[in-house]
Amino acid sequence: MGGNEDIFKESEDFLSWAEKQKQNPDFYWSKCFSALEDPAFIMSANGIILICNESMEEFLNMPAKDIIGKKCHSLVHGTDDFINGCPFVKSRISENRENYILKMSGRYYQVTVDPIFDRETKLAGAVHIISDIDDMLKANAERAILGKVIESSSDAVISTDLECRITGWNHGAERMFGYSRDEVMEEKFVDLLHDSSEMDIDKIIEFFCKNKEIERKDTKFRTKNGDVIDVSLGASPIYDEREVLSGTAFILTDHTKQRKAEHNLLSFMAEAVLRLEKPLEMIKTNVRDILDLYENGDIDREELSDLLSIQISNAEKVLENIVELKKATADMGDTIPEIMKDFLRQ
Amino acid sequence: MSFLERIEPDSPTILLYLSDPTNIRASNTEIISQVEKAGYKTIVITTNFPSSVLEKLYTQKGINTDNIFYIDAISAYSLGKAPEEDERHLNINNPGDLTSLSIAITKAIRQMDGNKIFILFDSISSMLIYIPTLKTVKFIHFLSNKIRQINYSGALLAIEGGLDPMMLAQVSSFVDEVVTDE
Repeated sequence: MGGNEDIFKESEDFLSWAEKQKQNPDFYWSKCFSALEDPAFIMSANGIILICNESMEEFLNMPAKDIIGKKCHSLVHGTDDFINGCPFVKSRISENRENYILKMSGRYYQVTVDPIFDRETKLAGAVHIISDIDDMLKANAERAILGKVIESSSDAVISTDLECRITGWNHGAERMFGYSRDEVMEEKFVDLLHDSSEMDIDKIIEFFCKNKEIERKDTKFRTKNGDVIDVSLGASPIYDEREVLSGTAFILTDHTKQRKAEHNLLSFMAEAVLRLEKPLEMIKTNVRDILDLYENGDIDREELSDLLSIQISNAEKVLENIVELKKATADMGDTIPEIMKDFLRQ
Repeated sequence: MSFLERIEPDSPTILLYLSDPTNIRASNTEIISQVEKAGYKTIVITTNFPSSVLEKLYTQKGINTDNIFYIDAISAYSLGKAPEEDERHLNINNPGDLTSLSIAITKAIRQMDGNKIFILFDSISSMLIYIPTLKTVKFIHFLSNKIRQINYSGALLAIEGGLDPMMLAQVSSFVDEVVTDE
C-alpha cells in the first residue's frame, strides 16, 4: 500500500472515530483539552478556575483538585487580587484576546486569555493558556545580535534569492558599493560584477544543492561611481525553516588597498631589478670587458682610465637611483605602513 | 640567419637586439661591421662606451669609419670632457637629457646623405641607469618613429633579461623583430 493511501486510510479512521465521539462529547472535549501541550485552564467570568489540563497540573506542580475552584491570581502570582495588567481583566473589558509576557523561575511565558461567551453573547468565562516562549525569545535575541553584527560589519553581506535577486544589503555593502539598500533590492547581484562572465550563479546554486562548499575567490566589482574594486568573494547557502535551499549569502571583503600595495611592491621590485640589478650586472661585465681590451692592447692607459671613470659614474648613478626609488616608494600614499615610510626616507 | 639578412632591403626595418651582458660590446661591433660592409651609412647613438673608444675599436676591426656618425651621450657626462664636435661627432651633456638627444638625432639625420642609412642605439639597458622605465619607453617610441618616418633601418641594443615583461612587450611593439645572440 502506498504512502498516500496510508494517510487516506488514517484520515478515514480518524473521521470515523470523531463521528462516534459526537455521541460522547464530554470524552471528545476532554481528549482535545488534554492534548494541548501548553498549560491551560478555563475560568469563570469572575476568575475562578473551572477546569485545567494535565500540562497545567505539571506546570503548577499540583493535582487538578487543588487547582480547580481557586482564583488564577492566587495560584499563578500568589496575590489576593488580579495583578495590574492582568490579561483576563483586560479581556473582560475588551471582549477580545489579550496577552502578556510573564517571567517565572527564570523563564519567559506568554499568557493568552481568550474570552468565552454564552448564548446571549454575555461573557461567560475565558480560556487561559500559558505558552513557554523562553527558547523562542532567546533564539530571537541571538538572531537580533547576529543581525546587528552583520549590519555593522565592514564587509559587504548580501543575500539573494535563488534567482540571484538581492534580498538583503548591509551597511558594509552600502559603503563598499555606494548604493543604498532601496536602490539595489530585487536587482540582479551579478550585475554588480565587473565581468559577469566570471561567476556562474547557477553553478553556485548547483554546488549548494549538492552540499558542496564554495571556496572564496578574488574578483572585481563595479561601484556606483564606476570604480572597479578588488574583492574577495565568499558564498554560502541560505536554508529556510524547512531546511530547503532558499538563496545565497555573499560576503565580500574589499582588498583594493591590499592589491594596490601588492601592485606597488611588484612595480618597485621590477623597477629595482631594471634600474639596480641589471645596471650593476652591466657595470660588472663592462669592467671585465674594459680590462680585456686593455690587456689585449686595444685601448691605451688613458682610455682605460676614461672607461673605468664612466663605470664609476654609472655606479654612482645607480646609488642615486636606489635613493630615488626608496623615496618614491615612501611616497606611495597610504598603502605603505608609516614605519616603513620612515625607514625608506632615511 | 645573419643580422643583416633580417633587414629588408627596400623597407625600413627596426630590430630589438637582445644580447648577453658579456657580449653587448661585441654585438655592437659586429652589427656595425655587417652594415658597413653592406654599404650603409650609420648613426651610432652611445650611452655606454665613449665614441672615441668605439671608433678606435671599429678601426681595429677593419671597419671604415668614414661613414659613421656618432652621438656621444656619455663622455661629457661621466668624464667631464668630450671629443671635439665635427661633422661626424655630436656630444650630449647628459644621457638623461632626452630633449638634447632628440635634437642631436634630428641634426645627425639632416647631415646624412643617401637612402641606405642605419641607426644603432647602444643601449636601452645603459639608458635605464639614467632615466626611469616610462621615460625610456617614450624615448624608444620617439626614436623608432623617427627611423620609420625617414625610411631608415636600425637596431636597438639591450641586455637580454634586462627589460621587464611589460617594457619588453611595449618596446617589441615598436620594432619589426626581436633578435637574440646566435
